Formats: sequence, C-alpha cells, structure tokens
Amino acid sequence: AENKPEFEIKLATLAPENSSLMQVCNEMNAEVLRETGGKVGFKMFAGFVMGDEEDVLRKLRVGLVHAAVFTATALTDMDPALRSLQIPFLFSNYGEVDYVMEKMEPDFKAALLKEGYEVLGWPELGFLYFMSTSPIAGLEDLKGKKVWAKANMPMSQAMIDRAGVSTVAIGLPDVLVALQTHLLDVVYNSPYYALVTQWNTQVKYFTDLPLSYIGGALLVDRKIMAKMPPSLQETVRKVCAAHLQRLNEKTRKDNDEAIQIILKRGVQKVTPDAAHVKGFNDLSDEAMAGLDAKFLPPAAVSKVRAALAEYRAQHPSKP
Amino acid sequence: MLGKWTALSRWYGTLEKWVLVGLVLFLTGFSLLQIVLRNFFSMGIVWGDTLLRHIVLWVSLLGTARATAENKHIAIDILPRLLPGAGKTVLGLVTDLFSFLVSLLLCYESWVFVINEKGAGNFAFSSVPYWWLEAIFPFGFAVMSLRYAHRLIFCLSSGRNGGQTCKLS
Amino acid sequence: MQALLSLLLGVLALSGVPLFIVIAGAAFLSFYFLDVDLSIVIIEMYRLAANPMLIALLLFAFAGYVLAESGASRRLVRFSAALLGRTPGGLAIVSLLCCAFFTALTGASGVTIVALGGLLYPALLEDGYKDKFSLGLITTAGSLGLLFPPSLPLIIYGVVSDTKISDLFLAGIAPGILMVVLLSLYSMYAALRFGTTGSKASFNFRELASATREAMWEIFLPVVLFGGIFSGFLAVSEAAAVTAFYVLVVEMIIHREVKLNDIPTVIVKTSMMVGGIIIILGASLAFNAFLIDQQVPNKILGLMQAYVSNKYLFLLILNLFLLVVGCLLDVFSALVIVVPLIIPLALSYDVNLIHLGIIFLANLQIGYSTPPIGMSLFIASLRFEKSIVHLYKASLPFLIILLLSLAVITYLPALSLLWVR
Ligand code: NA
Ligand code: NA
Repeated sequence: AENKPEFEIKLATLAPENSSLMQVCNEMNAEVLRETGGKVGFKMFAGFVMGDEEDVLRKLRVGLVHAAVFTATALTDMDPALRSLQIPFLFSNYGEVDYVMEKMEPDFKAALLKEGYEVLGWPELGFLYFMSTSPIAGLEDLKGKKVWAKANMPMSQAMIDRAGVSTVAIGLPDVLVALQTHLLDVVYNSPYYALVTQWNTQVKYFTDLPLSYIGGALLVDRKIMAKMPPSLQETVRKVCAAHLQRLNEKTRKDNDEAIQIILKRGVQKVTPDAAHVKGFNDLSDEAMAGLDAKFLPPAAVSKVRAALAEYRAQHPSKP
Repeated sequence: MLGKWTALSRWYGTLEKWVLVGLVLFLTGFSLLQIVLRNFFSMGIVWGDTLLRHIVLWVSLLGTARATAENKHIAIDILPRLLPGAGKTVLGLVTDLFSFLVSLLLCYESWVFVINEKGAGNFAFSSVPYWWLEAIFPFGFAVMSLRYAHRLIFCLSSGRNGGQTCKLS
Repeated sequence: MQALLSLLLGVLALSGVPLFIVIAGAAFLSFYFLDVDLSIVIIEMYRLAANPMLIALLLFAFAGYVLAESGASRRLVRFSAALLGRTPGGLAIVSLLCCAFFTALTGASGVTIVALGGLLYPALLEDGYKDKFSLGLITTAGSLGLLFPPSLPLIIYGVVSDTKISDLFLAGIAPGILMVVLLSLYSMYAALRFGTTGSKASFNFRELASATREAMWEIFLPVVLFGGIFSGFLAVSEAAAVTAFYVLVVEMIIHREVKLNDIPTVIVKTSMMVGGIIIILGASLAFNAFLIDQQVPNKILGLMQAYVSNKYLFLLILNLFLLVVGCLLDVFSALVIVVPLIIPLALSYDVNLIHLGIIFLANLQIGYSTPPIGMSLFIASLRFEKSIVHLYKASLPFLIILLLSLAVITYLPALSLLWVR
C-alpha cells in the first residue's frame, strides 16, 4: 500500500532504529511528504546497515544513498575547518557552541557545497565526557591509566599524546568488554551513547567537564536536489531545518537526562577545579599549536576563538 | 609465447610467496610490538591497527589470487560430477571463461574505486592516503584475471581437460 | 530477463564456478539493474578492512597451520588418553568444550575452525574417530559457544534491542550448556559405536605424568591465551599474535618439529585459505548491500505479520526465517537489520526480549553450518581441503541435534530465563 514518492531520497544514519535521531527523522519524513503532497520522501536506512561513516560517504559519492547524517569528524577531510570546533576543552557550554556555530555556518556550508553536498541541518552528537574506573580530576590523573584511543579523534589524540599518556586503540563494539577486562581505564563518549551502549555499568566515575564538542551534518547530494522544482527544494530545506533544530534540542535534553541516570545508577561525579581545568586548556592550546596548518586551518581557528571571546564578553561566567 | 607466460608466472609466483611471508611476519611482529609498547612503555601507535587491518586485506587479496592459480577456491561442483568426459571439458571452459570475465570486471571496478578514492583525498593515517592501501584491489584482481586467462589459453591449446581438472602450478 | 540471468547464474554456481565469483556476479547484476555505479561492489568489499576480527582470523589460522605441521596433535591425544582413560568420547567432548570456549571469546567469526581445527581434526582421527564424524564435529562446533559470555553478538543484540547485557549473559548459559551436553552425548554414542574407547589400559599415573610433560607446552597455551585476555594484558586480536608467536617458539625451538624452511609454505597455505574466506565475506557484503537497499528482510517480515496469528506458529516461522538469515547475512548485519524489525512483532506475540535474543543467536549459530551456504561449511572445506558436498553430509547429524536443542530453547522459555531476574 506504499506509493513511492516521485523524488525518493535514500537517507542513511548510524543511529539505531529506536533512537531520538530516527524518531525525529521519521517525523521529518512525514512532514516532508505532507508538505510536498507526497512528491518528496525519504527512505531510511538506520543503525549502521550501510556501514560506518566512511562507507556511507563512499556510497553517497556513487549514488547508492542520496543523503546521510554524519558526525563532523567524518567530514573533516572535505572541510578541515570543521576541526576548529572539535578543539579539546574549547567550549564549556552549549550557549557558546550555538553562538560560534552561527558565525561559522556560512563558511562550512559553502565549503561542503563546493564538494557537491548541501547541508540540510546540523544534528549534533554533543559534548563528550571522560568516564573512568578511577577518578579523573586533572591531567596527572590520566598518567599511568589505559586511555581509549578512539579512531578518528586526531585532536584529542594529539592532546593526550602531548600529556605523555598511553592510549589503547579499540573498536567501538569491543569497548564494553575492554572495560570489563581492565584493558581500558578511561573512555569518553556522549552521555546518551554511553548509556545506550551500557558503558555506565563498567565505569565508576564521570568527569563533569566537556572534553570535546562533536557536531554533525545532514548532507544531501546536490544532484538529487537539483532534479526537484525549486519550490519543492525550498519546502524540503525549510522542513528539514526545523526538524533538525528540534532534534538538537532533544539531543541536549537526552544527554542531560543520560547524565542524571548514569549518576543515579551509582557512577560518581568528579568536578575538576579551576586550576585543573586551566591545566587541560593549556595543554590543548599547546597541542593545537603544534598541528599542521593544512590539518587545522589557522584562519578558521582564529575566527572561532574571536567569536568565542565575543560571546564570553557578553556572558561573563558565574563565579 | 605461452612459454614466456609460464616463465613470467613462475617468477611472479616466487615474488608473491616472499611478499606474503614478509606481510604475515610483519603482521605478527608489529602486533607483538604494540603489546610490548603498551604494557611496558605505556605507549601505543594509534594508526597501527588501521595498518594491520589493511595488511590483512593485502594478504587476503594476494592469497585469493594465489588460490586461483592452485584452483583452491570454494565451489559447489555438483554438475561436473554428473557429466561425461567431453561435457566436463566444455563445462570447465565455460566456468573458467565466466570466472575470467567477472574477475576482469572486479579489476576494472577496483580501478574506478581507487581513482575515486584518490580524488576524494582522504587520509588513512598521517600522510598515507587511503588509495595507496586500496590499490591492492585492482592489482589482486588483475593477477587473478591473468591467471584465469592463462588457464583458459593453456587448456585450449593443450587440448587437455578444461577448467577444474586443468591445473597450473 | 532478470529471471533468466538469475537462473543462468544458479546453474554456473552448481557447475563449480568459485562461489565468490558467483556472489560478486550476482551483486554486479543487481546493481546494474538498479542503475548504481558498479564500483559499489568494491566499496562494499572494502568494508572488510574495517573488521578488526580479521587480524585475529589470519593470525590464529597461521598458528593453526604451524600446529598442524608439528606433532602437537599426537601429544594431545596421548595426554587426553592418559587423563580420561576409558571415558567414551573423551577427546570429542574435550574438543567441543575447547571450541565453545574459544567461540565465546572470538564471536564465531570463523576463527575457531581455523585456529583449533588444525590441532583437533588430526587428533580426533588419530584417536580412532571416523573422518566424517570428526569433520562434522569441528564444523558445527565452529560456532558453538556463541551463547556464552562475553560473546560479541550477545553484546550487540543487547545494544540493538536495548536489553540488559548482563541478563543476556546469564540467559545464554543454560541453552548453551544444553547444546554442548546433547552434542557430547551424541559423541559418546558415536565413540562407543566406532569402538573408540580411548586408551584400553587402566589409569596409570606414570603415563599421565609423562604425557603431561610431553604435551606441557601445548597445554600451557590456553593459559597464556585466556590469562592474557582476562588479565587485561591483551585484546583478542593481540592474543592471536601472541598465540602465533608462542606456537612458533614451541614448535620450532623447543620441539624442533617445524623447520625454518617450512614457514614460507605454511604462510602461503594460510594466505590462500584466509584469502578464500575473506573474499567470500567481501562478495557477500556486496550482495547484502543490495538486499538491504531493497529492504528484503522488511518485506518478508511484513508478510509474516499479515498471515501469522498464533504465537507458536510465529516462533516456528521465526526460526525458519532466522536460519535463512543466518545463512545469507553475516552476524553483525543480521543483528542490526533484523532485530529492530522483529522486536515489535515479537512483543505483539508476547515473546520475552531476552528469550528472543537467545532464540535469535541460537539460530544464527546454527545458520553457520546449514547447507547450502553456511560460512562454517566453507571455512572447513577450505581448511581441510574437502569438497563442500562432503561437509554437508558430515555435519548433518550434528545439525539435527542442534535443531533439536533449538526447538527446546524456543518452546521452553524457562531455560533461557532460568537465571534471569
Ligand atoms: Na569463532
Ligand atoms: Na552467516
């Protein structure tokens, strides 16, 4: 009983079928169908069935999928400027993120459009936090611990390397067992995914300091957009932007709730003091300064830092 | 002509053997090094795992191409068992021809894949682009195609049993 | 046109065209008709390079071939005969336990057959078991233990279905034991029938001490392996490297049975076998991508929902469906694609999700050795250089026993839920 829409956009995501992201995507699809009179619709492929982000990116290039939700990490080879948002310990709250993002958005969109993709929205993963089997309140607490080396986190890796801390490269699905067998002492993720993957059952401490911001983007192939009449294109853009904006609000709420649940289930919160936070920040700055300009474009970094300074001047932090 | 081919294929067979030996021993040694570095020196090579996974890919593709020469692929050979001698020979030639065509297509599409990857310009680790590591696909499938072609020509010209029973060293 | 080409491909498949060529050909045709750039087939194959388990597969296979070159199986048979004496089926039961334990750690990626097969198969033959029995045992045991913690598929099911992983770990134990016990009973029966009663001599402490001393280094291997993993010293893929290194040292330097000159041949054999497995996995990934694009699993489940109303009938059809899925898809794809589709359905028939997980994994486990295209059958065929048809026959009795235990697991939820809650 399904009528195939005239323009069917195959959309791949890594999020599981029952996640907030998929819920919102399904609602987004329903509204796109409604607003375009059934002419445009998404066909969803959730939960890794299309492979990891790099696989999906390749499929996007050959046209097996037309759109996909990526973390910013997967797009940094297309636009290295995206790395400027992932500098470790850069942001301390989402107010800062939103302000900086607003300033940077046109640049990012232009760079991705040049690669042939249009951005329909910026669905984020959120802040990553340290979770560990012994308390991590400052740099020295990381020493001698087995810290997870997540693939494709070159910025955090550069910083951890600079601290002289040993890291263990382990694939995502093996992390739970690695925590259990003490192959890993320190891991990091967004609270929501830590809860989904049940890491909270294997860690004792949660460090209440955002380690790094991981944004994301819903890209759509410009070729399939160009096939639609302009009015339909506009409708798709408008509907998607609204829903993906809503998704970010939901993601932040999910992450906040996840922190509460993780703490309620017996994980202890560790709050680094100002001196330790400064220690992390200084190390991050030092590590970033050592990176190649092609890898982390200084122009983008300065623009981000300038915007951040502006925001902080308008919003002096509470004592 | 065929004699030259056979000599070339022998020469490549030796090279292939030593490349495989080098890769597998490197894989073992490098994995051990990672364990020692982590447990005794609190260090680790982050891109090590990516490198090792690609070495497995290299070994697999070279190994598969080798298995083609030695006729050691998994196959469900129910029909040839039911056929008489001449039918078996013809069927062997048909299956080899089909295998040749598919491996040629695999080779061509691998080439397209690698060119696309080169264009995308992504890096596997430090300054090693993905396409260097992926170049084993067109190479492996090219060797495989040549071996099927070699076998077809050899079997046709020698007039011996085709395909399954016609084995090259 | 498409039907004709499919038929032609089917005929070629039965004519002895290498299976990966058939599957790759099917993938090319499918994507051609879908009008997608054909390099998608290679894109899918390249996903192999993201699978960390393949490092372990290659290294364990290498260690297995080195062991097979040495006299390790003779030493092991002597040791088990001295230890178990006249227990019928002793060595077969030991083999089953080893495989189950190993699969729990490596997650049924084919590693068990290549790592242990080289040792256990010759040992079983030497102990007087029939060739067909020994092959069937190793092949089906290659995925035995999928239900025991800390098997990765159990964890993935937990994550995908949002059920407690610790509960799943507990739930898998009794059904897993049931499978091992039933297979052990069959092995005892077979051993008695073959007259394989182990050692005829009565228990002799001297012989045990001497056999232990001789086999000491091989007996110590599991200690190194499991000790390394559970102490947090080693990840599974690293354990494979340590195993390969350990085996090289033991067989080349201590026993001096494997010579330096043998190593290139062993490595080429290993590469051909592992390459043969991995290329089939790669081609299957490409064909899977087509099935996923066409949402084939969704469509079948939709039909099921429309026509089945009874819970027991649902479970029966679910089992048949999952056996086919277990044959067609790799465990990971099967879990992430099919589980989210089945859960609402199962809930509507009032099936417990923990129980569903055990049914699911038991099916996938059996699917590995189900003809015509169970992965374990291919791996065993390559490893032992036997025709695939021969392996179909060899695994049949074991398969029947496993299906019997599947029926018990399915219709006796209490077995899975015994330790849960
Ligand atoms: Na296994
Ligand atoms: Na399978």
